[in-house]
Amino acid sequence: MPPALLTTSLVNTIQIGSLYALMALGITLTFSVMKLPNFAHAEYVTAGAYAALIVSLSGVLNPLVIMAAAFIVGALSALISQLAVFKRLEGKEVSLYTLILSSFAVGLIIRYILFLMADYFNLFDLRIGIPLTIVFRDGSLILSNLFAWVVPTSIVLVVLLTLLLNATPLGREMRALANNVNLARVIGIPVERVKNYTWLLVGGLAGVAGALWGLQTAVHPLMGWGAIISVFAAAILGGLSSFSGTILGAYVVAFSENTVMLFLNANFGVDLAYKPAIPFIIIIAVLLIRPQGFTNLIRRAGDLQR
Amino acid sequence: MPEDPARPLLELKSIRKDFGGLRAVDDVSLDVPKGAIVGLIGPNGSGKSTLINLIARATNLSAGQVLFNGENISDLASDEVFRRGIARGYQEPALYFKMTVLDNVLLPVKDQRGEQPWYAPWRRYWQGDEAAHAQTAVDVLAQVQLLQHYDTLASDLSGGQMKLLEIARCLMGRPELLLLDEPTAGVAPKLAYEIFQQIARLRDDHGITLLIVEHRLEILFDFADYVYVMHLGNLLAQGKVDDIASDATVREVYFGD
Repeated sequence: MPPALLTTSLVNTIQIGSLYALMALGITLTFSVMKLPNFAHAEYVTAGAYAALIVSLSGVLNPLVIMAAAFIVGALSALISQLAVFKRLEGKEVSLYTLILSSFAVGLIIRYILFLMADYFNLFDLRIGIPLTIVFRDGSLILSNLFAWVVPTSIVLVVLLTLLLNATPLGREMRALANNVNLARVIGIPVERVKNYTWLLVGGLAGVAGALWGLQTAVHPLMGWGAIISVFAAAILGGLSSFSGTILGAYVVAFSENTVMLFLNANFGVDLAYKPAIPFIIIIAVLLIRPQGFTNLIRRAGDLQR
Repeated sequence: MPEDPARPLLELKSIRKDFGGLRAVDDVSLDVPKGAIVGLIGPNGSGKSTLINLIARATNLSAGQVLFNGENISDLASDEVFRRGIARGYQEPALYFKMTVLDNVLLPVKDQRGEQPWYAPWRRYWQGDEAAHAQTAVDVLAQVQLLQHYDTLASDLSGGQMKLLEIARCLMGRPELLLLDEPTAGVAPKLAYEIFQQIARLRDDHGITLLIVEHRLEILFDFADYVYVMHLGNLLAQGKVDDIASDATVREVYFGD
């Protein structure tokens, strides 16, 4: 494989991996605190991307304002799906399967609302209007301003989320819910309130991830859904409970999809069209060989169930 | 409604609990006066733990009413009951084993500013509150002699210390009534006596009323003011400790003589 291609693929790994981490942490957090593998998570990403797109089309090009709008829209879509659907189902004590299926349904509803909106206002395949510039060039290593936004933002948000979880009263209560929700009720933790706050955070982070995603590719109602399997693969690598494991998983998935795929293509002639199969292979392999993923392999701050 | 000083803190009015065909608690009425240490004894399976669960609203009543400070709490959720001032301990200590001792006692603090996402990221808005809560937590932990273990994971404590930590956590919620289900189960005899000394101090220093299920009668009888005896879901006897200790039916049920 030519070295220039290797460098580009590694840059992509870091850029995509950071976005996967941002999204996969939301999945891990939802699964730990709410006991729900939430497939509608993909649509909070898309909703955030559209919020970012619409703000940028209205002429505001400050990335911070764009991301704030995406955060709010993502957070609200998550909170609404909790209040309108998941909370009511939990009240009826339905099985996990019903909850998973309902998360697919919620996802479909949000996705096709976005489709209707995109169709009506003709908002298909537009990029968020921040012009692409090159901020660093050294031989084959080229970093764009996207890289300069995506990677630091993701890392800062991941660090902030870890701090929130480990060093604030809200995080303490979220960890308590993750470990034993019935006990949390008995000792007077306002369980429903903490859940709502968690949804706001999870949805908000997904929204920001959508905005960052929309900076590098075109915004489309299916964009979140297109990434969800990779994101779930990352979360499953993290054992759905470990923060550090999920972050590592995100980069492993991104590395496999970019560098490993190019390597296989260059040396063994594997068609690049097989790229979407990689997360499936990772999920199956992890579940068969090491269902707990990276948990207990690395123990760091931020693990929800130590 | 003016507060009636003679009114018991907790009143059970003909409460009943059926599990399928089994009647675990059958038409039990009892009062717990304010500031008392009330014992609840009886052989295994007599319905004592079920009674505690019913008061703490961990299970639903089949019939009857639970009044706390005169208010009917029979239909409240368990976190609401806690907020009204009823805390409970378990036979098997129920703790957050993967969290530190200090975290465990800080969790039940009501209405913390830092639990709201709009304040949580800005430490200066809640660190004052948090410091005050931590100070209360330190006092409470010192009371139960767990202060030197504040940074230990709860899972690394001994059985007796876990019981004490549970009591400390209950205290953080500033309860009026504390329900304890066998606070000395699985605890060495010497520590068991210490636990009861702690319990007596809760009443003497903090005015907390206690309802205690206990099998170690010799210790319970040293500390309790009043004792209810349950047998097969019914109240068999009640009275002051001396009367119960010498009661012939109680001896027959309990000791088989």
